[in-house]
Amino acid sequence: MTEPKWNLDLFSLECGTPFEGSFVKLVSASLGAVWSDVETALLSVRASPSFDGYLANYRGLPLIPVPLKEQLGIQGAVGNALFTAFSDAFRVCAQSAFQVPGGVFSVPARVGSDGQALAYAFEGVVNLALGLWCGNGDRNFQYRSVVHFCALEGLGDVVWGEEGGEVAPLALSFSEHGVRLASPGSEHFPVRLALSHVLIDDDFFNVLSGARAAGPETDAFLVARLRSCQRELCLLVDDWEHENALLAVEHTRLRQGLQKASSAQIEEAMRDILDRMGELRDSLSLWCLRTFTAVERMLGILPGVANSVDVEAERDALSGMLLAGVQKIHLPASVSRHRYHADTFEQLSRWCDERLARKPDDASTLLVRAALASGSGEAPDWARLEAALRGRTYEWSLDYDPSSALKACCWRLMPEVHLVFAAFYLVMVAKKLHPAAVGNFWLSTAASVVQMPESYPSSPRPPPAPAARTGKEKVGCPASLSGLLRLEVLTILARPENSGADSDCLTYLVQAFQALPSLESQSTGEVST
Amino acid sequence: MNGPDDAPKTSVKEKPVQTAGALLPRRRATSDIKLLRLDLLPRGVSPSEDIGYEWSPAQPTESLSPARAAESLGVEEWAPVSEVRKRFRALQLRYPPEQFSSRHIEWRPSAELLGNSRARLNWYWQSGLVPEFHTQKAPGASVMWNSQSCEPALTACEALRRLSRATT
Repeated sequence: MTEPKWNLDLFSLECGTPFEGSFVKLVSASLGAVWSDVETALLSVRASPSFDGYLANYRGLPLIPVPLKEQLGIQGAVGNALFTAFSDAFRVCAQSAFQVPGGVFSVPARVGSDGQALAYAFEGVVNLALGLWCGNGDRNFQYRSVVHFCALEGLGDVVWGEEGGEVAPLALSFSEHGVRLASPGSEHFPVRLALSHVLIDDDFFNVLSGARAAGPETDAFLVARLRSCQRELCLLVDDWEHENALLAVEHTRLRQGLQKASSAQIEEAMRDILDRMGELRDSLSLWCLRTFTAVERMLGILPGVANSVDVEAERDALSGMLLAGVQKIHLPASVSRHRYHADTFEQLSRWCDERLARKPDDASTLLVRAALASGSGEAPDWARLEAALRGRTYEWSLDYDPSSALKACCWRLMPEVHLVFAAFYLVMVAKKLHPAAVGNFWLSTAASVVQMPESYPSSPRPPPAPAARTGKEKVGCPASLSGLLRLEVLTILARPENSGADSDCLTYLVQAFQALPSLESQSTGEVST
Repeated sequence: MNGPDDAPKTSVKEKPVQTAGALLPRRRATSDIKLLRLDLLPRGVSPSEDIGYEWSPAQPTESLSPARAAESLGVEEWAPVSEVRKRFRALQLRYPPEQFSSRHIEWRPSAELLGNSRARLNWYWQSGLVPEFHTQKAPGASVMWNSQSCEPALTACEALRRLSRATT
């Protein structure tokens, strides 16, 4: 067929600190060799008589008491076995990565930075594998439950290099979220390699790149693989929700424990908790979004490869599943007012780009992409938004409700720009509704979007988008467009069909949107009807 | 005095919907169950055209499971969509609804559930179960869905194997 216009280098789709592909491969090979030891070590917890009872009541938090004697007995055995397996694997990688005869580093400076990259890849692959592992087919029997049962949290030792030596020391330590491999004493959230590298493996890649001929067998492979992608993404979203739920429970417990403390202490401690939760959420969201972005690209390539009804049906289900997953990512922000890290927003923009490349008429993503661009100081695609606004409603589609995404990134925007996006949101929803009454549900959603920026608490972090403040002329909405929007949105609110709606909400929205510049106050005469 | 109609009363009891080993319960979150919604509503329910909005009040479509639907249609639970539709069409032609409406009451929703991948995925998600793909078909028996093409759950071992083979 035509030249492959798609780039399938999945690593290039990832924001944040990138993984080195060759290191990932190397690490997986050496980990694969020791994986049976890791598995044996994890399964050896069952030797402890109280483990079964523990597991039956275990829900992801270390709240169930374990007899201390038993715990200490098993802690050493399990911890040492895991530590030995991982550190052996890492040494094998490091030796073959740097081709050092006799284990002496000839070029310490190069090894220093590459050593960090290798450690990063190692951490990513180990944590991905540990995340996929469960014992005896019981999804409750996981690495996390082993860590909690044996109290392995924080244990670890130096595996590579030495203090003051030519190579900076790297320490391996355990935490409930995975294994850390970094400079000793590091408390960072363990990184994970995105699941997409496993879902889109060589076999799949051959199909996507056209190296494997199309035919019934290829279609059968695609149906099977798309179904397993659906399942793994469901599990990924489940993990995301599970970890968020654990955070929320922990947060509540800590807050209840603080009731007796003085208010200054409470504020200090709350800030600590929120910072820790924030770090967890940032890393988790980045991990999920990296996978989503890669899968989105894959979905875009598929129709050129196979066009059977069965593949199309599975692809459509996966596409809906993916959207639902992305919607979930916004919840910590739109519900708990979490301010995501810039990396997460960047990854989300890439996802939007992939989605728009696949579905150019998806106005929801167009709006979210514009809000993300504006937040990072780039110029949003006003022309495309305006075309959607002026076009017929069947020319674009509202594929999902973009309100939670708008809420998640509103704190990065200038208030007037946010108001423009909120107006867009209401106009788009209203245009798609039949009959013409907007209804209380959508009106109050729109009102909550408008109100959102002020509901964010003052930030413990500095606001990360200085470009948005300085590049005002770049991100500002063209006067003709905002005038048109004002006209549209006020017309919609004034429709007689909406007179039965909640009057407070209606009044609030009318007042808010009147702040948009009107057409009469502009000198540009290009706008019609 | 055991009449012939006494015996069935106890055995008519519903079969367990899931066969052992075919399904694993998903790990439950500690929070409210409503957080576990996937919200894959059919198109056109809300102005959002691809998926529904968060916190939507919609419930899973029917009290019908894929296993039961497959049994009623006489296809495999994981049969590809085209196979399900073909089977339903054959039944429709052979037993027209005006003559066998009692059967179509079961067939139609069954075909809707199995003939729509979204609906089936949504069913699994909302029931809190992890689907395990299986088939009795030998590699020669069917091109689209056979024991060779259905993939087992992803394990850590398999993940490491795939990653270490990667050429990109």
